Amino acid sequence: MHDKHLLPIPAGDLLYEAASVACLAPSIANTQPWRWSVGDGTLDLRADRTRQLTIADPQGRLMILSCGTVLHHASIVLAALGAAATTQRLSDPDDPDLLARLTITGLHQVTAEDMRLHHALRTRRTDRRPFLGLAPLPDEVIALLCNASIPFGVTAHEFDAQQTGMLGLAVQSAAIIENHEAAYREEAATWTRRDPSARDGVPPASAVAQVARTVAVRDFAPAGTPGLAVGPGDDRYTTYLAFSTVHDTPADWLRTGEAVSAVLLTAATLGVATSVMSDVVEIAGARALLHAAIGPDGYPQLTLRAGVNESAPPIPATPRRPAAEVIGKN
Amino acid sequence: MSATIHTSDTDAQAIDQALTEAATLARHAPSIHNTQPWRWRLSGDELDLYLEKDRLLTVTDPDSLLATLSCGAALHHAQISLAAGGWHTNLTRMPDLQDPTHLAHIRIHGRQNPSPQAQLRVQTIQLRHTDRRPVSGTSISPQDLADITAAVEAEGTWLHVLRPEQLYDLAAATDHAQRTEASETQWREELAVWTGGTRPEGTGIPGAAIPASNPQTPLPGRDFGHPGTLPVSTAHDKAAVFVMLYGDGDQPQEWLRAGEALSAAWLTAAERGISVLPLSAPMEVTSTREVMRQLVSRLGYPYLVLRLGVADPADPAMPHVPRLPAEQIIQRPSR
Repeated sequence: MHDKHLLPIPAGDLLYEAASVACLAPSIANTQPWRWSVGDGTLDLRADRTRQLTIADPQGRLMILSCGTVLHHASIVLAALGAAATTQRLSDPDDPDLLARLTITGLHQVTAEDMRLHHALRTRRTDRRPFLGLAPLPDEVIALLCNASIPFGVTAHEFDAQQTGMLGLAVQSAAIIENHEAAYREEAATWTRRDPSARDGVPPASAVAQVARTVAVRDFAPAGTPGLAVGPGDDRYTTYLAFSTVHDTPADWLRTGEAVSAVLLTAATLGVATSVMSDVVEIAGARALLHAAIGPDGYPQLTLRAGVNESAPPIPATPRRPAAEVIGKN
Repeated sequence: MSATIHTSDTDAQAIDQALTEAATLARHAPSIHNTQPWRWRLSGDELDLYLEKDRLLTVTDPDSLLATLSCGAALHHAQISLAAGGWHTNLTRMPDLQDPTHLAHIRIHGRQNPSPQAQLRVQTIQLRHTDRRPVSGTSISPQDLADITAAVEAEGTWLHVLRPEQLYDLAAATDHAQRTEASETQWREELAVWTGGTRPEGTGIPGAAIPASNPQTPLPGRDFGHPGTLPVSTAHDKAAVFVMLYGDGDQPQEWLRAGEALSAAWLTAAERGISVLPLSAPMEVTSTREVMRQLVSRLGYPYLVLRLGVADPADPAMPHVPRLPAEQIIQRPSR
């Protein structure tokens, strides 16, 4: 006998729910540079270029990468709701902002892993504090993280000690350049010093004071008081991953975002804390250094730090724009 | 959206379908020895829940506490199905003072927006299962425990987290209860009917869901009288947390609510990758039930002890235990 009560909800309502919950996805400087439109059994994702960081991200690479994270988040929500869906990645010269379309195709048998990923999606936080780990992450855990990016054609590469040193240098050089240029500073200030009622940007409550560490983490409270205590961690056993793709087109950036989302959520299901670091890929010179560090086989798109911070105090959620502002109807 | 009056045939058909689906989904609820001691009567826009006398454990559960709890879980499942479909309902618990087996009356009241949260729960209901294997060594996060506690309290029931020193009392009571039961011929016969090879069709606990060996646990697991075939790792249950559902009264109405709380807690846990194992043995023997009462300092009445733990992701998926076909548990009085 087959149970019929799998999709009592109209497809449009399911897609709206998926789109709105997906907006919990992380994005560059929490700009949330995306727009959804719900159609007849379809959900279209567009980049919102008004939210692009034109100085730090002139090509819109990190904007499209951010759209990839929200796209993957939406697919996770649909799976947990029992809806089977396909993802089409689109490239339409007449509608260049249109990036992808999710289409409901039927019923999906929800698995325990779907449920774990969905819960991770709702509770995941970006943790920029130094991680407290007392030992390196087990190899099996790192393998699970790296494997999560494979279905998207994206390679997640683990840094060895020497490469981590190179990463530290690349981050440092990027920070020097970005701090030196007034335009960068102004743009960073725009997104880190929001009005307290703003529903986007990185509030000081999510930032961490600058401390000496092997690989520095960008100062997200350049003028304010960081809200998160540094804590006892020292990043000594932190794992660094680089995401790279064979080509460097918008389609690769979108897939990278999906892979980053998959890795972040997998990490959260395993109790592994994470934050992504984009400064190193924003500056051409630093990105070239990174490219050299990880080898010539691909274009570095983003780096991520992962570690254990189990006993650290919880991190407040960063704000999100209201669903009605982000989701329209076709 | 205001309530509508259903006059057209399509409405009547949709309502009948929604109520059928609710009772069908509720079959997934957990029940003592998987007896599924429920029966639904569906008529027009009304759905009534009854205790099924033919599937009660008269030796193990003489006052039907555990059967009523099981029905409460089924009632909670049914409500989720209706909310997911966007049906607004009125619910009356124990509607007929003359008939203590008439546990609940649900009436469709109108339409409301379908709830995606409830839709998610519909999926969880189909995924939830009882896992008697040891849990992993990972501790439950305080936030997850707080969420589970809140889910129980929202159903008018309380949750007490047993302190480490209380586990000795729980272990002693469980052991005593199982010895008492095992020494009774009638009890052994009843258990044999519902577990193992010769169960009534569509019910009971198959060997595949019974551990092949005793898991390493601070508490004695249920003695099914025979080993099953479920492979058990050598992990030790030391990261498990034991909690007790308890409440202000000891009547069927409160047991029903406790069953709803059990369902709410279990689904909340399942969504967080937390495994739940009910330990009913100490509730089945009068003297050990009294010990359970002491564990909450006699501030309320105990209903059920649960083991909570992070499911071991390395364990293979559990086989699903059987369920009765919908036709057998849903009655439609001829008009």
